[in-house]
Amino acid sequence: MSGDIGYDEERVGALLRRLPPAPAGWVQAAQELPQWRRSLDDVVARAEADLAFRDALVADLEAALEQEGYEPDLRLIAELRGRYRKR
Amino acid sequence: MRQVPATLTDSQLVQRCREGDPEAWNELVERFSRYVYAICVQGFRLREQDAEDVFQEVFTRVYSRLDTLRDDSAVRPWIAQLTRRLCLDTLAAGSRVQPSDEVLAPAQEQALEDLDEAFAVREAMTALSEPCQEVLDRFFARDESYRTISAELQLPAGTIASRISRCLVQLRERLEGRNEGAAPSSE
Amino acid sequence: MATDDYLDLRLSDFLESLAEGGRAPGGGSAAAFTVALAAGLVAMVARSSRGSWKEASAVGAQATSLLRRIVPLVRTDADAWEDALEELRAAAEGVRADVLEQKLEGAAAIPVLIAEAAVDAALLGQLAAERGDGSYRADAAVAAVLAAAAAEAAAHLVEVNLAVREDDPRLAQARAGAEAAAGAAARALDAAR
Repeated sequence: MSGDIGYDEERVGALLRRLPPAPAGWVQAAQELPQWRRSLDDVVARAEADLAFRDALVADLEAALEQEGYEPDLRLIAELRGRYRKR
Repeated sequence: MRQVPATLTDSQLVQRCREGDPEAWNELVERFSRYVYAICVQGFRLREQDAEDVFQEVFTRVYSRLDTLRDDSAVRPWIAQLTRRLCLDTLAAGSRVQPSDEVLAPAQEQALEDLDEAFAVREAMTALSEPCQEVLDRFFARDESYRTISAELQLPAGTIASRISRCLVQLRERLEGRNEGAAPSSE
Repeated sequence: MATDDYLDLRLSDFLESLAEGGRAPGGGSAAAFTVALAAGLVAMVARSSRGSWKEASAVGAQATSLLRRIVPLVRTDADAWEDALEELRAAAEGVRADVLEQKLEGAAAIPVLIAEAAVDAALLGQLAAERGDGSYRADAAVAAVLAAAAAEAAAHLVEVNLAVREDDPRLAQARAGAEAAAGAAARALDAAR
């Protein structure tokens, strides 16, 4: 039953217990990373090509994003706020 | 149902992520999320908010630095090292005393070693049938009761303990088979 | 006695703390502790039966996992109940109905978990009584009986909690659990005779 290898069912059960699921919200946010990174790259590229859009971002970031149909992702907003600040 | 099989090796999974496969990225996060979470809260005992910040930063860095990984099969120790580094940085930021860079307390080192072993057990579990994986995960990792498992999986409550026993025996046999490097254990 | 100290107390000190008037730990902690005793007994029977029962170690694994699940509830119940008691005292002076309701909800949630764990312990006790080594089957039956008592106790606590109404599904769940645990205990006793 218990091997010479050092595993028995009690040890296996105890080890399974050590890895409960991470909070679902955290996992989802991490899985959505590629999407918001694409949105970020998209917004930055547009802002570089379109001064009016860039000005709109500086004036009112959330409104400008909403206007253009971007999802109100908090990480996206935080990242963009750092780049497009009113001076 | 997963689009990307959980039985892909770590190397295969990393390769697909590099190719831009979104399902592969979802699977990668799924595969390592428990491990990263456990390192934060069990290994380094971070508070919930700090643990969440580290968790997200780990996967952000994994995503942006995947191309720098030289050996795709070493993605797990790479993620572990990233997580460990960020946890130490977080603790240092919250403390006046700069902790020793890579020297951890023996209890912490043991906790991290246990988590590595726990990860290996979960990997071995992916070779079991889906129903076995389900009951083992629900009972041991999610702390669900027999009646909850019975209701969720539509199985008689009186049979759950026996099912768990049989699946756990299978998993132990798999692990022993791995360690021996011998032929697959009988089933 | 500060509730964070419970799990490190000597048994005699914990029992003394239990006997102290007017505060936690109370019935919920006692019920959780009883489930822990039951789970511990099943683990003992399983470990003692490895020579004769192929799945003994696997059942032991479940019993020890259950033990780890239930032990924190000894303290958690005491904390939740202290919280609710304080709110009840405050409510006597000036009503904070929403806060009181929230605290009572919190206090009701723990006995529900204790009841579920108690059912698990009773079912494991039954399994161990049926398959364990002959010398230890009586211990397994004791485990199942203790767990059934704890399930009944926890169901009662769910019932008397002011936040739980008669048609609350948690009450039905707790009562069904107590019944299931009682059945498991009866079968365990039969198997051990």
